[in-house]
Amino acid sequence: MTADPRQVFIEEAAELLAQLETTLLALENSPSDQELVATAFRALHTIKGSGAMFRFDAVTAFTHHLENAFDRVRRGELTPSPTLIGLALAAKDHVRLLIESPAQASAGEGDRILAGVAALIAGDGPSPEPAVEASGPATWRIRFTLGGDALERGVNPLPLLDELRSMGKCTVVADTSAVPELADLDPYRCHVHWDVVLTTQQPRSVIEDVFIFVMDDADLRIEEAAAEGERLGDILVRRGDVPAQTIEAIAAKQEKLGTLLVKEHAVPEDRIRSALAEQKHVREAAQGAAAAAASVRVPAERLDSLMDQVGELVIAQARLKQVVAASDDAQVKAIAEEMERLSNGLRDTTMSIRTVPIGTLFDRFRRLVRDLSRELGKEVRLTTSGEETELDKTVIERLNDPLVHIIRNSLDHGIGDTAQRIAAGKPAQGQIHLSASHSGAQVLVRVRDDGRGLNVERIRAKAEERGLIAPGASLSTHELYQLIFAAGFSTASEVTAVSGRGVGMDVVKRAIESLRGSVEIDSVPGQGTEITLKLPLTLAIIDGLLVRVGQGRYVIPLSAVEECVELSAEDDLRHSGRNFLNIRGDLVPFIRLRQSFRSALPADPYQKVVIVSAGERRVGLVVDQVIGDHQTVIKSLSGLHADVEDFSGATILGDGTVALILDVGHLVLQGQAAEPTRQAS
Amino acid sequence: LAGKTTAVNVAFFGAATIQNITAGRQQLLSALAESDEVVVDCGAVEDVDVCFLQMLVAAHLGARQAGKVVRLAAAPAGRLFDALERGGFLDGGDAEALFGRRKVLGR
Repeated sequence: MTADPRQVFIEEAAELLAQLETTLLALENSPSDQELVATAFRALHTIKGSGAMFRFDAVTAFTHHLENAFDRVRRGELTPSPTLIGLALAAKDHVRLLIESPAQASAGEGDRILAGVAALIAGDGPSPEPAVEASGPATWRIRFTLGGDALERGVNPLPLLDELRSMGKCTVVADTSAVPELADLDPYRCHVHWDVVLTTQQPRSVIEDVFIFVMDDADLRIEEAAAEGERLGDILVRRGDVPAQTIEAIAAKQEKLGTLLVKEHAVPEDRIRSALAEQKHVREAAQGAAAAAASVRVPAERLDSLMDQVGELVIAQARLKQVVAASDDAQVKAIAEEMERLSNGLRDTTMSIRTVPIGTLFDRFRRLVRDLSRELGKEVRLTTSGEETELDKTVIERLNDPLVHIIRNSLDHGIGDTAQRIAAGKPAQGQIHLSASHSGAQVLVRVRDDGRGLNVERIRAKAEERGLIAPGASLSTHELYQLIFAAGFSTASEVTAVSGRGVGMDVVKRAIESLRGSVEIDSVPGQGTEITLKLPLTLAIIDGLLVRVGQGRYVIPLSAVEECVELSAEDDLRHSGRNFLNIRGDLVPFIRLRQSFRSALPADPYQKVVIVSAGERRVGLVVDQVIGDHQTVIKSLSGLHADVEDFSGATILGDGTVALILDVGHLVLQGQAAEPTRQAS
Repeated sequence: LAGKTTAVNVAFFGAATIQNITAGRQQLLSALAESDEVVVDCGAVEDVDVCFLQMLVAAHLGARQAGKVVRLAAAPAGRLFDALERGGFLDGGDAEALFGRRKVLGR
């Protein structure tokens, strides 16, 4: 079934509005940046135009006024003052409501915004020197063919053509040569394509924006007509007066310019070769750039379905590998190896398709920081880095709420007000830095503020008061920090609208752990706090270590595995009653999985201990056998197993049996609780 | 395919758009089966889209291949002319043969 075009508009408008918000916030800091003004104008222009195409009339009418205001800014007739930015941000929220839930959009709010914009325009006279166009007009050849079912989906090409005409001198010709005769016509499909020649001051991106909502299905070609004119052969071929092959055949009879120049000793041969290499490079670069610019929009559910199917393929492939291992047929083995190579490639490609840059998420927090810092009367600047770091789209979607909690906490409790900061010898403006980076199979997302830092004594007092720890208990600073993740824990002396109710950090921890990630805190009193979220690259397929305990096989996520050591029968006896190992001077507690899983079979004589870590804590898991690495396609456990704490999911092995995936975070906590880590003496 | 010589009139009114396109196509097919000459009257159409224009082009083409004629009752005007002009149907190819500028006498 084809996507509903109105739904496509809603989704794409949401992206445009997000882009508008980012641009407005950047413009507030750099009001003279003409590129930002142009981007804001383009976003408004596209929302207006596409709104009209999909019959969002209220959106079109409202956005029109704002577009006018930004057109004035573009022409230097209006200043992008903080008041205008504030109104434009409110307008962006209003447009979002008009699109997504019109019933909730208040006409009063819309009128207030438009009145504000009108007042600004009335008060801000035209600047004495109107902006000068940066470059002269260019002529573009545009050819577009709509997707066959575009008309059926409600796309109307006439407003697209109107919009092109509004940009400059424009000639439109409908090519009806592909329209079949009436008896053969499927009247719902579009058989017409259009050739447009447009001379405009607008850049190519503005022309492309006209097609933004139909681009996925349309065949669109936009070429700039060469200013110096085409070669004779090209014009004749383009006009259909002579086939390209004929031109090539006749041209081949001519000697190449380079050959003639060498023959005449006008240019040395190596100089010709160098020039040809440059020509080839430029041509390939242009082709590469064109290929890179090509992109397709795909509904998220199709990607999820693709990922599921690739998961099944990986499982089937593992089964095939196991069956083929027992075969002597060299031909079958060769095919199986080729299948493995292909399925691994497909898996990697599919996983990379699902990843999106985290910058899209970071951008959302600029508005949050702006609005909250004003509400709290603080000056805070949000800086970001590593926006290009890619993460699975599901992880990114589910990171929003935890990051909102962390940033709110930083703003409210971490960063003091201006007077406090100046008294502490810090700049008046506080800073929150949001960063992302890769670390092996994980992505680290950090939120760092330059605020007061965590107050260990206050955390201890509050924890003792709430009975979370015994009075005077000996806890490391790191362990004390972990207490802020307890449900309902808050050291804030006053509850504000922003935070301080103790709802937040426990939610953050739970949300991150549900993504198979972990949270770490580092803080320096008086200097600030850094919260690090460690997240897996993907939620669908992981590298696992397959182990055997009794008769059962289990998967340990490889990213958590630090090392494997042997536990001989003598060592086992020596350790009985003291479940910890000395690993290079550190005492690491271990859990005998045979006991946890109540295995009745006798233990292997040489058991292995797999040392796993979660955050800074480590624990050993005693298993009977380490089988090896395993591509693990994660399957969720059913609702019936929701209360099973030792496992985070299941996977299907090559022989079709099921192996449970160990929940390392939970096992580490369990191990640490049983045997607190101590330094070996 | 020797049809009757009397022209058959097909009049469209109201929304000449994708919503009514199946019925419109059927009307034109029936008329072409009935006669060698079909006269299309668009004087009462209130809304015209590309689907409708494409159907007229297809009817014109089908008629020409069968040695028949599909023509407009009057030069394009009003909503029909607007849609033809906006869609670039007034220049070139079969569209021009049916709607072409030289046939437009006024709006």
